[in-house]
Amino acid sequence: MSAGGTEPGRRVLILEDEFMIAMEFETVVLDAGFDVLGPFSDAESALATIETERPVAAILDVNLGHGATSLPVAERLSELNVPFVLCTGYQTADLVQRFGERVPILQKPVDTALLVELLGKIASPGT
Amino acid sequence: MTATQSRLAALVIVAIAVAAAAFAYMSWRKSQVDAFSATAKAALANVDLVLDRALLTVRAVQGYYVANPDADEEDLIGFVEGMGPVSGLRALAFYRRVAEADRPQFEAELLRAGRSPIGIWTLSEDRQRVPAAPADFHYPATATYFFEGNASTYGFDIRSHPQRRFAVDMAIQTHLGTSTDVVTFASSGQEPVHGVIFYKPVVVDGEVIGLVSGSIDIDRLIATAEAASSDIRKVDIEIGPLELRGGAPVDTPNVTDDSKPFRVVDHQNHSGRLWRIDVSGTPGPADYARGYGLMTLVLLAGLGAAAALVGYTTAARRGQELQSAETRLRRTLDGLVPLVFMTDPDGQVVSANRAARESVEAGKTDVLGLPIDKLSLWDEDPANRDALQFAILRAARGEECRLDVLAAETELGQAVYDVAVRPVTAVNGDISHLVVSALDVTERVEAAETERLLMRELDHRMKNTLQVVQGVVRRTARGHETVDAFENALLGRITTMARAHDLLARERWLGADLRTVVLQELQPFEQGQSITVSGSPIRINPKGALAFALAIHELGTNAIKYGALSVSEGRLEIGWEFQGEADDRCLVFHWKESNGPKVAAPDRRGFGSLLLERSITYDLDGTTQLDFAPDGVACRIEIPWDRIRPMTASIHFRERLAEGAGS
Repeated sequence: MSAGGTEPGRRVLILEDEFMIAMEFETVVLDAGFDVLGPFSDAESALATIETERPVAAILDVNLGHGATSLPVAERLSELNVPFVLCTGYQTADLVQRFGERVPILQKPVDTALLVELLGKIASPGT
Repeated sequence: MTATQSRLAALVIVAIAVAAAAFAYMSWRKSQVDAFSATAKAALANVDLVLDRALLTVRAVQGYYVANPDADEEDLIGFVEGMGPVSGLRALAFYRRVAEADRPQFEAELLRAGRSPIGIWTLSEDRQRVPAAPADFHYPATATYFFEGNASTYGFDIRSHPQRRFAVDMAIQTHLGTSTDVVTFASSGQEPVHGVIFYKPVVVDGEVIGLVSGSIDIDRLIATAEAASSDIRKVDIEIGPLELRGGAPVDTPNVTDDSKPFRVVDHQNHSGRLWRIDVSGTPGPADYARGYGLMTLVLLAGLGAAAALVGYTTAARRGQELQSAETRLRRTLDGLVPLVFMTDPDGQVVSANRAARESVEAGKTDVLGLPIDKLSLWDEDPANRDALQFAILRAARGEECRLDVLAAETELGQAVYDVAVRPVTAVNGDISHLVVSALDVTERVEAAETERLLMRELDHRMKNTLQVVQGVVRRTARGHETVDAFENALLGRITTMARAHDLLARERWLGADLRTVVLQELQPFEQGQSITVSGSPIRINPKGALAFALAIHELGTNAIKYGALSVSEGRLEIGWEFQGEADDRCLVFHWKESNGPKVAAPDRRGFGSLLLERSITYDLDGTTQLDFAPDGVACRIEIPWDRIRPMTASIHFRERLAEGAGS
């Protein structure tokens, strides 16, 4: 599902449990010239996909509902040196405290221009 | 029987035992005393009899001499032996009055008869026969009769002897019978023999011509009395002074005193003297042993009975007290609303109050002996049970623990218990058991969770909503060519979300009634068409409510544009039901239009369809089947109940558990 004129294979993983937001992230990412991996609404399916299709970056919603979080995905991405951006509506989520100093955190509603800029930075080759 | 009654009863028994023992002893003693008294009296009667016979014999001899003043010794012997057997006397004698002037003639006759070479004699202090000192009158013995032995006292002048003179003179002067104190008999050989001598004057024509004497061996008399019974230990005879008061009868009735145990004192008057005969004794050792044995036996039996009663009633009372204390405690515990378990230090349930028993599988399973953290009462979530187990372990080490534990889900919902685990220390300091109390704090937790949830949900929802609006704007803009269309579509969607928020806010973001959500979203589209909404009242969570609100908004928007709601005769049926079992059940929602314009499938799927079809799937793991059937649009939405069931405290609690476990 690659948009025309983009760099093939530069895929950004989207993990967001709310459909409307996932769709918006998808739109933004596609508009920025990346392919989209997902979007996924739960950590399990995202984790499964990471093992076979390596993204260049990821947008992770911190809270996935029912107490679930993106933590396992964030940890796995860290191991794989895949950069990611955290999006959250909460100030005190555990995941934010854990990755907050190393990972860009965007508060909802996400400034899509900033998101695109960050994606461009973290997903640029050689960094 | 109360403890006081028991003690009182025991005291009474002891008292009775002592009394019985005392009575037994007293009875025994009294019987012994009585027996002794009887024995003593028999002995005294013997003494009496001896004395009476002796005195009777002396009187008889007195009478004989009165009748035969000139009787000689042979006459006396003949008379005495003619009286038949008499006893008690050692000897009888007759002393003839001899004036000093007649002494030489009398002594000459004594000498001639070979009776006394020294004439009228007396006993010296060293018990030698010596001639009697001169006196106006002499009373030498002229006839003697010995019942025992045969020692002549012929010529012995009784008046010359100091121990006898007073009694003799008194008899002569008063003409009454007299007696001596205990004296040594003149007839004694080397071994002195003691006794009492009775004198009876022989009065002829108003003149005392002589005296008759009878002597009694006092030691023999005593020996005879003492020999009457082995119980008689000692017989004492005291003889009082000679009292001849106004010629009163010398022999008075006996007065016997047996007021002292084993002692009988008899007072007798014999010939002017008071005889005090004291018979004392004791029962033999065997009798004492019997008496004390009986007493001890009775006493011990009584004490034993008392001890047994006290022991029994005390034990019974203590048992009753313990039992009643335990019963009271049990009833108290049973009356408590919280669940109370008693466990051993390992957490095995030892006892449980009624609330606890009833809470565990409605009393079907006996909770006793089961590890408390394994009871079906608790939710099976390992984190939940581990927390309880950990609390038990800590309590077993002496800590008091308090924690919230989630109960297993029942028809009534899922409760949260405030569980306190407290160690109970035995006397020796060891932890003997644990008390686990569990108070249902679901409401409290729910209130607190609601508060927490409300703040979180609002924060979350507000930001998400803004994010969603951002997305809606972007997508709506792409799907609509004109600004008006964009504006309408955007406003419709935002208004829908606003209404849903309004509803959820009223419900404190805990959930919303599905029917209310449906009716609220249909309201803008209603224009008198026949719309039926059927389905049991169910509450769904905020996410589900928003999803349904948006779904109905999209369906309604489509229906009012192209479908059944675009014409007045159009019909719409909406309903929902559960399918499947328990936790796996799904909420099946259906939308069915009819009587509307003929439906043609759209050539291009708009954002609305996309939203409808994908959002349900994405957000709620559900499935949406949108069917543009010619006779009317039909939509079937199926969502796992687990994903849309309303927020309850227990679910949030579970979330918190998960968060706690993850951190």
